[in-house]
Amino acid sequence: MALGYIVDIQRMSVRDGPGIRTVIFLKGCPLSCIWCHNPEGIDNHIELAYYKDICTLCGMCADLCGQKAIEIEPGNARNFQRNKCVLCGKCIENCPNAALEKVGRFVSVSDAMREMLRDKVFYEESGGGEPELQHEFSMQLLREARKHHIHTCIETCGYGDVNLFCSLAGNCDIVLFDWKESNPILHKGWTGVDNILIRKNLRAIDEKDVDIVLRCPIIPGLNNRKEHICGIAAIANELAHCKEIHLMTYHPYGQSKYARLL
Amino acid sequence: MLAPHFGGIANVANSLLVIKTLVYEERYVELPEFIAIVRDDWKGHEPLRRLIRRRFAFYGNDDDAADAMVARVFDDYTRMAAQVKKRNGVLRPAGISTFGREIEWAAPNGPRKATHDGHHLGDVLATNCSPSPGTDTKGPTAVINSYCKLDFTKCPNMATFELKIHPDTVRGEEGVEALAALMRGFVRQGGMFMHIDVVDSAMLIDAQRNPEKYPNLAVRVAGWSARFATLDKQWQNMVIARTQQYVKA
Repeated sequence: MALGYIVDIQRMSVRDGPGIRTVIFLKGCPLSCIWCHNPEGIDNHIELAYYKDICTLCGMCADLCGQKAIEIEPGNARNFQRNKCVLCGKCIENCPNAALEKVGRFVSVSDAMREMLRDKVFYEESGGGEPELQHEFSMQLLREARKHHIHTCIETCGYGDVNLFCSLAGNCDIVLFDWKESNPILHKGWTGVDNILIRKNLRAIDEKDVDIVLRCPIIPGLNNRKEHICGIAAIANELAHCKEIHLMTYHPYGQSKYARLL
Repeated sequence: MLAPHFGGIANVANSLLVIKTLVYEERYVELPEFIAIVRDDWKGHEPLRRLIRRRFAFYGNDDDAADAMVARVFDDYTRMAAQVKKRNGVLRPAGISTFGREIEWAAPNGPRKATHDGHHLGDVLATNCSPSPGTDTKGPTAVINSYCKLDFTKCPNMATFELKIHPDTVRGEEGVEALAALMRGFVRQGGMFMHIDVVDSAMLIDAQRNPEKYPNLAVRVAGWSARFATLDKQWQNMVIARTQQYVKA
Protein backbone atom coordinates (compact mmCIF):
# COMPACT_ATOMS: atom_id res chain seq x y z
CA MET A 1 0.00 0.00 0.00
CA ALA A 2 1.18 3.50 -0.79
CA LEU A 3 2.33 5.90 1.91
CA GLY A 4 1.07 9.44 1.95
CA TYR A 5 3.11 12.38 3.08
CA ILE A 6 0.84 14.64 5.08
CA VAL A 7 0.76 17.70 7.28
CA ASP A 8 -2.25 16.62 9.29
CA ILE A 9 -5.62 14.95 9.33
CA GLN A 10 -8.29 17.40 10.39
CA ARG A 11 -11.58 16.07 11.62
CA MET A 12 -14.82 17.99 11.52
CA SER A 13 -14.01 20.36 8.76
CA VAL A 14 -17.15 22.17 7.64
CA ARG A 15 -16.06 24.42 4.78
CA ASP A 16 -14.30 21.99 2.45
CA GLY A 17 -17.24 20.45 0.64
CA PRO A 18 -20.72 19.60 1.91
CA GLY A 19 -21.36 18.41 5.47
CA ILE A 20 -18.91 17.37 8.15
CA ARG A 21 -15.73 16.08 6.55
CA THR A 22 -12.37 14.68 7.51
CA VAL A 23 -9.65 16.41 5.52
CA ILE A 24 -6.26 14.89 4.78
CA PHE A 25 -3.84 17.77 4.29
CA LEU A 26 -1.15 16.47 1.95
CA LYS A 27 2.30 18.01 2.03
CA GLY A 28 3.94 19.27 -1.14
CA CYS A 29 2.58 21.70 -3.72
CA PRO A 30 3.91 22.65 -7.18
CA LEU A 31 2.80 26.26 -6.69
CA SER A 32 4.09 28.84 -4.27
CA CYS A 33 1.32 31.42 -4.06
CA ILE A 34 2.49 34.57 -2.35
CA TRP A 35 -0.70 34.64 -0.26
CA CYS A 36 -0.52 30.97 0.79
CA HIS A 37 -2.04 30.57 4.27
CA ASN A 38 -0.78 27.03 4.83
CA PRO A 39 2.92 27.49 4.03
CA GLU A 40 3.78 24.26 5.86
CA GLY A 41 2.02 22.44 3.00
CA ILE A 42 4.28 23.73 0.22
CA ASP A 43 7.58 21.97 0.84
CA ASN A 44 7.67 18.19 0.50
CA HIS A 45 10.31 17.70 3.18
CA ILE A 46 9.93 17.42 6.93
CA GLU A 47 10.11 20.83 8.53
CA LEU A 48 10.52 22.00 12.08
CA ALA A 49 8.18 24.47 13.68
CA TYR A 50 9.18 26.53 16.71
CA TYR A 51 6.62 28.35 18.83
CA LYS A 52 8.56 31.25 20.21
CA ASP A 53 5.88 32.44 22.61
CA ILE A 54 5.56 29.08 24.33
CA CYS A 55 9.31 28.50 24.69
CA THR A 56 10.69 29.28 28.15
CA LEU A 57 14.34 29.02 27.02
CA CYS A 58 14.81 26.21 29.56
CA GLY A 59 17.66 24.76 27.47
CA MET A 60 16.53 21.14 27.53
CA CYS A 61 16.72 20.97 23.72
CA ALA A 62 20.24 22.35 23.62
CA ASP A 63 21.41 19.82 26.23
CA LEU A 64 19.91 16.93 24.30
CA CYS A 65 21.05 17.91 20.82
CA GLY A 66 23.83 15.58 19.66
CA GLN A 67 24.66 17.86 16.74
CA LYS A 68 25.06 21.00 18.83
CA ALA A 69 22.65 22.75 16.50
CA ILE A 70 20.92 24.66 19.29
CA GLU A 71 22.29 27.42 21.46
CA ILE A 72 20.42 29.20 24.20
CA GLU A 73 21.22 32.71 25.26
CA PRO A 74 19.66 32.54 28.72
CA GLY A 75 16.65 34.78 29.09
CA ASN A 76 17.10 36.11 25.61
CA ALA A 77 17.01 33.90 22.54
CA ARG A 78 17.27 30.44 21.10
CA ASN A 79 19.58 30.10 18.12
CA PHE A 80 19.11 27.18 15.84
CA GLN A 81 21.35 26.10 12.97
CA ARG A 82 19.16 24.22 10.56
CA ASN A 83 22.10 22.93 8.50
CA LYS A 84 23.50 21.01 11.49
CA CYS A 85 20.15 19.43 12.39
CA VAL A 86 19.61 15.80 11.34
CA LEU A 87 15.94 15.73 12.37
CA CYS A 88 16.49 13.08 15.05
CA GLY A 89 13.49 14.49 16.90
CA LYS A 90 14.96 14.26 20.43
CA CYS A 91 14.37 17.94 21.15
CA ILE A 92 10.78 17.67 19.97
CA GLU A 93 9.91 14.63 22.07
CA ASN A 94 11.47 16.06 25.19
CA CYS A 95 10.45 19.71 25.04
CA PRO A 96 8.41 20.15 28.24
CA ASN A 97 6.50 23.06 26.74
CA ALA A 98 5.58 21.56 23.38
CA ALA A 99 7.25 24.54 21.73
CA LEU A 100 8.74 22.37 18.97
CA GLU A 101 6.92 20.35 16.41
CA LYS A 102 7.79 18.22 13.43
CA VAL A 103 5.69 19.23 10.46
CA GLY A 104 5.01 16.39 8.08
CA ARG A 105 4.60 12.66 8.58
CA PHE A 106 4.04 9.53 6.58
CA VAL A 107 0.75 7.77 6.86
CA SER A 108 -0.45 4.56 5.24
CA VAL A 109 -3.72 4.29 3.38
CA SER A 110 -5.10 1.98 6.05
CA ASP A 111 -4.12 4.31 8.93
CA ALA A 112 -5.66 7.30 7.17
CA MET A 113 -8.74 5.26 6.45
CA ARG A 114 -9.05 4.16 10.08
CA GLU A 115 -8.91 7.79 11.21
CA MET A 116 -11.55 8.70 8.64
CA LEU A 117 -13.91 5.92 9.62
CA ARG A 118 -13.93 7.17 13.20
CA ASP A 119 -16.24 9.96 12.10
CA LYS A 120 -18.23 8.00 9.55
CA VAL A 121 -21.32 8.28 11.73
CA PHE A 122 -21.26 12.06 11.23
CA TYR A 123 -20.81 12.23 7.52
CA GLU A 124 -22.28 11.27 4.43
CA GLU A 125 -18.79 12.36 3.25
CA SER A 126 -14.98 12.94 3.39
CA GLY A 127 -11.93 14.24 1.37
CA GLY A 128 -8.22 15.46 0.80
CA GLY A 129 -5.26 18.14 -0.09
CA GLU A 130 -2.77 18.44 -3.14
CA PRO A 131 -3.40 15.01 -4.52
CA GLU A 132 -1.69 14.98 -7.91
CA LEU A 133 1.82 14.95 -6.41
CA GLN A 134 0.91 11.93 -4.32
CA HIS A 135 -1.18 10.28 -6.92
CA GLU A 136 -0.73 6.66 -5.82
CA PHE A 137 -1.64 7.33 -2.18
CA SER A 138 -4.54 9.61 -3.07
CA MET A 139 -5.93 7.12 -5.55
CA GLN A 140 -5.88 4.22 -3.09
CA LEU A 141 -7.41 6.37 -0.37
CA LEU A 142 -10.24 7.53 -2.60
CA ARG A 143 -10.97 3.98 -3.69
CA GLU A 144 -10.99 2.75 -0.09
CA ALA A 145 -13.27 5.60 0.98
CA ARG A 146 -15.68 4.76 -1.81
CA LYS A 147 -15.73 1.13 -0.74
CA HIS A 148 -17.05 2.41 2.59
CA HIS A 149 -19.63 4.58 0.82
CA ILE A 150 -17.94 7.77 1.92
CA HIS A 151 -18.54 10.84 -0.20
CA THR A 152 -15.18 11.98 -1.59
CA CYS A 153 -13.67 15.33 -2.59
CA ILE A 154 -10.26 16.41 -3.71
CA GLU A 155 -9.09 19.98 -3.64
CA THR A 156 -6.41 20.71 -6.20
CA CYS A 157 -4.39 23.58 -7.60
CA GLY A 158 -4.81 21.92 -10.98
CA TYR A 159 -1.15 21.93 -11.95
CA GLY A 160 0.21 18.58 -13.09
CA ASP A 161 -0.28 15.63 -15.38
CA VAL A 162 -3.63 15.58 -17.11
CA ASN A 163 -4.01 11.80 -17.03
CA LEU A 164 -3.36 11.65 -13.31
CA PHE A 165 -5.95 14.35 -12.72
CA CYS A 166 -8.53 12.54 -14.80
CA SER A 167 -8.02 9.26 -12.96
CA LEU A 168 -8.28 11.01 -9.57
CA ALA A 169 -11.39 12.90 -10.66
CA GLY A 170 -12.94 9.64 -11.80
CA ASN A 171 -12.89 8.48 -8.15
CA CYS A 172 -14.40 11.63 -6.65
CA ASP A 173 -17.88 12.96 -6.11
CA ILE A 174 -16.73 16.56 -6.20
CA VAL A 175 -13.51 18.20 -7.39
CA LEU A 176 -12.73 21.47 -5.64
CA PHE A 177 -10.61 23.18 -8.27
CA ASP A 178 -8.64 26.33 -7.48
CA TRP A 179 -8.90 29.16 -9.95
CA LYS A 180 -6.60 31.81 -8.58
CA GLU A 181 -6.01 34.26 -11.41
CA SER A 182 -7.35 34.46 -14.96
CA ASN A 183 -4.42 36.33 -16.45
CA PRO A 184 -1.60 33.81 -17.19
CA ILE A 185 1.21 36.32 -16.73
CA LEU A 186 -0.06 37.56 -13.38
CA HIS A 187 -0.71 33.94 -12.40
CA LYS A 188 2.93 33.14 -12.99
CA GLY A 189 4.03 36.17 -11.02
CA TRP A 190 1.96 35.31 -7.96
CA THR A 191 2.06 31.53 -7.88
CA GLY A 192 5.25 30.63 -9.75
CA VAL A 193 3.48 28.95 -12.68
CA ASP A 194 1.15 30.19 -15.41
CA ASN A 195 -2.42 28.95 -15.67
CA ILE A 196 -2.39 27.48 -19.18
CA LEU A 197 -1.88 23.88 -18.07
CA ILE A 198 -4.31 24.44 -15.18
CA ARG A 199 -7.01 25.60 -17.60
CA LYS A 200 -6.37 22.60 -19.82
CA ASN A 201 -6.66 20.21 -16.87
CA LEU A 202 -9.86 21.87 -15.71
CA ARG A 203 -11.45 21.26 -19.10
CA ALA A 204 -10.25 17.66 -19.13
CA ILE A 205 -11.77 17.00 -15.71
CA ASP A 206 -15.00 18.60 -16.87
CA GLU A 207 -15.27 15.90 -19.51
CA LYS A 208 -15.05 13.26 -16.78
CA ASP A 209 -18.61 13.95 -15.70
CA VAL A 210 -17.73 14.91 -12.13
CA ASP A 211 -19.12 17.89 -10.21
CA ILE A 212 -16.72 20.81 -10.08
CA VAL A 213 -16.59 23.62 -7.53
CA LEU A 214 -14.34 26.54 -8.45
CA ARG A 215 -12.43 27.81 -5.42
CA CYS A 216 -11.25 31.37 -5.92
CA PRO A 217 -9.18 33.10 -3.25
CA ILE A 218 -9.79 36.81 -3.55
CA ILE A 219 -6.71 38.72 -2.48
CA PRO A 220 -7.17 42.46 -1.91
CA GLY A 221 -4.96 44.52 -4.20
CA LEU A 222 -4.00 41.53 -6.36
CA ASN A 223 -6.82 39.66 -8.00
CA ASN A 224 -9.91 41.55 -6.85
CA ARG A 225 -10.05 43.10 -10.30
CA LYS A 226 -13.01 43.23 -12.62
CA GLU A 227 -11.14 41.32 -15.36
CA HIS A 228 -10.43 38.40 -13.04
CA ILE A 229 -14.00 38.24 -11.71
CA CYS A 230 -15.21 38.24 -15.34
CA GLY A 231 -12.59 35.59 -16.05
CA ILE A 232 -14.02 33.37 -13.31
CA ALA A 233 -17.50 33.78 -14.76
CA ALA A 234 -16.25 33.05 -18.28
CA ILE A 235 -14.50 29.83 -17.32
CA ALA A 236 -17.45 28.70 -15.21
CA ASN A 237 -19.68 29.21 -18.24
CA GLU A 238 -17.45 27.06 -20.41
CA LEU A 239 -17.74 24.14 -18.01
CA ALA A 240 -20.61 21.67 -18.16
CA HIS A 241 -20.27 20.50 -14.54
CA CYS A 242 -19.41 23.59 -12.54
CA LYS A 243 -21.92 23.47 -9.67
CA GLU A 244 -20.67 26.28 -7.47
CA ILE A 245 -18.14 29.09 -7.33
CA HIS A 246 -16.63 29.84 -3.93
CA LEU A 247 -15.14 33.29 -3.57
CA MET A 248 -12.86 32.94 -0.59
CA THR A 249 -11.97 35.97 1.45
CA TYR A 250 -8.33 36.50 2.25
CA HIS A 251 -7.32 36.36 5.88
CA PRO A 252 -3.90 37.12 7.35
CA TYR A 253 -3.78 34.22 9.86
CA GLY A 254 -1.27 32.38 7.69
CA GLN A 255 1.37 34.99 8.39
CA SER A 256 1.82 33.70 11.91
CA LYS A 257 2.84 30.37 10.39
CA TYR A 258 5.69 31.71 8.26
CA ALA A 259 7.56 32.97 11.29
CA ARG A 260 7.48 29.62 13.04
CA LEU A 261 8.87 27.46 10.24
CA LEU A 262 12.57 26.88 10.77
CA MET B 1 -35.67 10.08 44.75
CA LEU B 2 -32.26 10.88 46.12
CA ALA B 3 -29.51 10.32 43.57
CA PRO B 4 -25.75 9.96 44.06
CA HIS B 5 -23.86 12.03 41.49
CA PHE B 6 -20.23 11.61 40.53
CA GLY B 7 -18.06 14.62 39.65
CA GLY B 8 -14.66 14.77 37.97
CA ILE B 9 -14.85 11.43 36.19
CA ALA B 10 -12.56 12.66 33.38
CA ASN B 11 -9.82 13.62 35.84
CA VAL B 12 -10.10 10.40 37.83
CA ALA B 13 -9.74 8.34 34.67
CA ASN B 14 -7.01 10.52 33.15
CA SER B 15 -5.03 10.33 36.39
CA LEU B 16 -5.36 6.56 36.54
CA LEU B 17 -4.18 6.38 32.92
CA VAL B 18 -1.08 8.43 33.78
CA ILE B 19 -0.32 6.26 36.83
CA LYS B 20 -0.86 3.06 34.86
CA THR B 21 1.48 4.20 32.10
CA LEU B 22 4.25 6.00 33.98
CA VAL B 23 4.37 3.93 37.16
CA TYR B 24 3.38 0.43 36.14
CA GLU B 25 4.18 0.12 32.45
CA GLU B 26 7.18 2.35 31.88
CA ARG B 27 8.49 2.49 35.47
CA TYR B 28 9.38 6.09 34.77
CA VAL B 29 8.60 7.07 38.35
CA GLU B 30 7.89 5.15 41.59
CA LEU B 31 4.38 5.43 42.99
CA PRO B 32 5.31 6.89 46.42
CA GLU B 33 7.51 9.49 44.73
CA PHE B 34 4.79 10.38 42.23
CA ILE B 35 2.22 10.72 45.00
CA ALA B 36 4.57 13.00 46.93
CA ILE B 37 5.20 15.17 43.87
CA VAL B 38 1.48 15.66 43.26
CA ARG B 39 0.70 16.22 46.96
CA ASP B 40 3.31 18.96 46.89
CA ASP B 41 1.52 20.56 43.91
CA TRP B 42 4.30 19.63 41.42
CA LYS B 43 6.78 21.92 43.17
CA GLY B 44 10.16 21.50 41.47
CA HIS B 45 8.63 19.09 38.94
CA GLU B 46 7.04 21.46 36.49
CA PRO B 47 8.73 19.76 33.48
CA LEU B 48 7.15 16.42 34.46
CA ARG B 49 3.74 18.06 34.79
CA ARG B 50 4.05 19.67 31.38
CA LEU B 51 5.32 16.46 29.83
CA ILE B 52 2.23 14.67 31.12
CA ARG B 53 -0.07 17.38 29.79
CA ARG B 54 1.41 17.28 26.31
CA ARG B 55 2.17 13.59 25.97
CA PHE B 56 -1.10 11.94 26.88
CA ALA B 57 -4.22 11.82 24.78
CA PHE B 58 -6.87 12.13 27.46
CA TYR B 59 -10.61 11.52 27.48
CA GLY B 60 -12.29 13.58 24.75
CA ASN B 61 -9.91 12.79 21.89
CA ASP B 62 -11.53 9.58 20.66
CA ASP B 63 -8.46 7.75 21.92
CA ASP B 64 -9.31 4.15 22.75
CA ALA B 65 -6.90 3.75 25.69
CA ALA B 66 -8.09 6.92 27.42
CA ASP B 67 -11.74 6.21 26.74
CA ALA B 68 -11.42 2.63 27.98
CA MET B 69 -10.16 3.98 31.30
CA VAL B 70 -13.14 6.33 31.59
CA ALA B 71 -15.47 3.46 30.75
CA ARG B 72 -13.86 1.35 33.47
CA VAL B 73 -14.32 4.06 36.10
CA PHE B 74 -17.86 4.65 34.84
CA ASP B 75 -18.73 0.96 35.00
CA ASP B 76 -17.26 0.56 38.48
CA TYR B 77 -19.14 3.59 39.78
CA THR B 78 -22.49 2.66 38.27
CA ARG B 79 -22.13 -0.93 39.47
CA MET B 80 -21.45 0.23 43.02
CA ALA B 81 -24.28 2.74 42.93
CA ALA B 82 -26.69 0.09 41.64
CA GLN B 83 -26.05 -2.10 44.67
CA VAL B 84 -28.32 0.16 46.70
CA LYS B 85 -31.32 0.70 44.45
CA LYS B 86 -33.49 2.10 47.21
CA ARG B 87 -32.99 3.36 50.70
CA ASN B 88 -35.93 3.84 53.08
CA GLY B 89 -38.26 3.51 50.09
CA VAL B 90 -36.44 6.31 48.22
CA LEU B 91 -34.97 5.53 44.78
CA ARG B 92 -31.24 6.10 44.27
CA PRO B 93 -30.46 6.18 40.53
CA ALA B 94 -26.82 6.97 39.64
CA GLY B 95 -25.90 10.14 37.80
CA ILE B 96 -22.80 12.05 36.72
CA SER B 97 -22.63 15.80 37.15
CA THR B 98 -20.89 18.56 39.03
CA PHE B 99 -23.68 21.17 39.07
CA GLY B 100 -21.16 23.97 39.11
CA ARG B 101 -19.57 22.65 42.31
CA GLU B 102 -16.28 22.20 40.49
CA ILE B 103 -15.72 25.78 41.60
CA GLU B 104 -15.94 25.18 45.33
CA TRP B 105 -14.06 21.89 44.96
CA ALA B 106 -11.22 23.82 43.33
CA ALA B 107 -10.73 26.14 46.32
CA PRO B 108 -6.99 26.19 47.10
CA ASN B 109 -7.64 25.59 50.81
CA GLY B 110 -10.23 22.88 50.12
CA PRO B 111 -9.79 19.14 50.40
CA ARG B 112 -8.96 18.52 46.74
CA LYS B 113 -5.27 18.62 45.92
CA ALA B 114 -3.42 18.69 42.60
CA THR B 115 -4.18 15.73 40.33
CA HIS B 116 -1.96 13.22 38.57
CA ASP B 117 -3.16 14.25 35.11
CA GLY B 118 -1.18 17.48 35.44
CA HIS B 119 -3.58 19.85 37.20
CA HIS B 120 -2.45 22.21 39.89
CA LEU B 121 -4.08 22.73 43.23
CA GLY B 122 -6.86 25.25 42.62
CA ASP B 123 -7.47 24.38 38.96
CA VAL B 124 -11.08 23.91 38.01
CA LEU B 125 -11.42 20.33 36.77
CA ALA B 126 -13.84 18.68 34.37
CA THR B 127 -17.48 19.68 34.54
CA ASN B 128 -20.10 16.94 34.49
CA CYS B 129 -19.14 14.21 32.02
CA SER B 130 -17.04 16.59 29.87
CA PRO B 131 -13.36 16.29 29.07
CA SER B 132 -11.00 18.06 31.43
CA PRO B 133 -10.58 21.72 30.38
CA GLY B 134 -8.04 22.16 27.58
CA THR B 135 -7.34 18.47 27.00
CA ASP B 136 -9.62 17.78 24.04
CA THR B 137 -7.79 18.76 20.89
CA LYS B 138 -9.33 16.67 18.12
CA GLY B 139 -12.54 18.61 17.66
CA PRO B 140 -16.22 18.13 18.44
CA THR B 141 -16.69 14.80 16.67
CA ALA B 142 -13.91 13.26 18.76
CA VAL B 143 -15.47 14.52 22.01
CA ILE B 144 -18.83 13.05 21.03
CA ASN B 145 -17.23 9.74 20.09
CA SER B 146 -15.38 9.54 23.41
CA TYR B 147 -18.53 10.30 25.40
CA CYS B 148 -20.65 7.85 23.43
CA LYS B 149 -18.36 4.94 24.29
CA LEU B 150 -20.00 4.91 27.74
CA ASP B 151 -23.08 2.76 28.31
CA PHE B 152 -25.68 5.20 29.57
CA THR B 153 -28.28 2.58 30.33
CA LYS B 154 -26.25 2.15 33.52
CA CYS B 155 -26.64 5.78 34.52
CA PRO B 156 -30.37 6.53 34.74
CA ASN B 157 -30.05 9.91 36.43
CA MET B 158 -28.23 11.44 33.45
CA ALA B 159 -24.68 12.28 32.47
CA THR B 160 -24.32 15.44 30.46
CA PHE B 161 -21.33 16.91 28.69
CA GLU B 162 -20.71 20.31 27.18
CA LEU B 163 -19.64 20.89 23.62
CA LYS B 164 -18.41 24.37 22.94
CA ILE B 165 -18.59 25.39 19.33
CA HIS B 166 -17.28 28.55 17.78
CA PRO B 167 -19.91 30.63 15.96
CA ASP B 168 -17.95 30.35 12.68
CA THR B 169 -18.48 26.61 12.67
CA VAL B 170 -22.24 26.83 12.63
CA ARG B 171 -22.56 29.96 10.54
CA GLY B 172 -24.81 29.88 7.48
CA GLU B 173 -26.53 26.97 5.82
CA GLU B 174 -23.42 24.76 5.86
CA GLY B 175 -23.17 25.44 9.56
CA VAL B 176 -26.72 24.33 10.24
CA GLU B 177 -26.05 21.19 8.22
CA ALA B 178 -22.93 20.52 10.28
CA LEU B 179 -24.80 21.02 13.55
CA ALA B 180 -27.55 18.65 12.44
CA ALA B 181 -24.93 16.08 11.41
CA LEU B 182 -23.29 16.37 14.84
CA MET B 183 -26.60 15.72 16.56
CA ARG B 184 -27.45 12.80 14.28
CA GLY B 185 -24.06 11.23 14.94
CA PHE B 186 -24.57 11.74 18.67
CA VAL B 187 -27.97 10.06 18.68
CA ARG B 188 -26.88 7.20 16.42
CA GLN B 189 -24.12 6.35 18.87
CA GLY B 190 -26.43 6.17 21.86
CA GLY B 191 -25.61 9.57 23.35
CA MET B 192 -27.70 10.69 26.30
CA PHE B 193 -27.38 14.39 27.02
CA MET B 194 -25.34 16.86 24.98
CA HIS B 195 -25.21 20.50 25.89
CA ILE B 196 -24.07 22.70 23.01
CA ASP B 197 -22.66 26.16 23.61
CA VAL B 198 -22.17 28.31 20.55
CA VAL B 199 -19.94 30.92 22.00
CA ASP B 200 -16.94 32.97 21.14
CA SER B 201 -14.55 33.09 24.08
CA ALA B 202 -13.14 36.39 22.79
CA MET B 203 -16.60 37.87 23.26
CA LEU B 204 -16.86 36.49 26.78
CA ILE B 205 -13.46 37.91 27.69
CA ASP B 206 -14.63 41.24 26.33
CA ALA B 207 -17.84 40.94 28.35
CA GLN B 208 -15.78 40.30 31.45
CA ARG B 209 -13.79 43.49 30.88
CA ASN B 210 -16.70 45.62 29.74
CA PRO B 211 -19.83 44.32 31.45
CA GLU B 212 -21.74 47.48 30.52
CA LYS B 213 -21.57 46.46 26.85
CA TYR B 214 -23.29 43.12 27.48
CA PRO B 215 -25.95 43.71 30.14
CA ASN B 216 -28.23 40.98 28.80
CA LEU B 217 -25.76 38.32 27.74
CA ALA B 218 -27.24 35.14 29.16
CA VAL B 219 -25.21 32.02 29.81
CA ARG B 220 -27.03 28.74 29.90
CA VAL B 221 -25.47 25.55 31.09
CA ALA B 222 -27.95 22.71 30.63
CA GLY B 223 -30.76 23.74 33.01
CA TRP B 224 -28.68 26.46 34.59
CA SER B 225 -29.06 30.01 33.36
CA ALA B 226 -27.55 33.30 34.45
CA ARG B 227 -26.70 36.72 33.16
CA PHE B 228 -22.97 36.75 32.50
CA ALA B 229 -22.48 40.22 33.95
CA THR B 230 -23.90 39.13 37.30
CA LEU B 231 -21.48 36.24 37.80
CA ASP B 232 -18.41 36.73 39.92
CA LYS B 233 -15.03 36.58 38.24
CA GLN B 234 -14.29 32.97 39.13
CA TRP B 235 -17.54 31.80 37.61
CA GLN B 236 -16.97 33.91 34.54
CA ASN B 237 -13.52 32.39 34.16
CA MET B 238 -14.99 28.92 34.39
CA VAL B 239 -17.48 29.66 31.65
CA ILE B 240 -14.67 31.00 29.47
CA ALA B 241 -12.29 28.15 30.24
CA ARG B 242 -14.63 25.31 29.39
CA THR B 243 -12.89 23.91 26.38
CA GLN B 244 -13.68 25.84 23.32
CA GLN B 245 -13.99 23.82 20.17
CA TYR B 246 -12.68 26.10 17.53
CA VAL B 247 -12.97 24.85 14.01
CA LYS B 248 -11.36 27.08 11.48
CA ALA B 249 -13.79 28.21 8.82
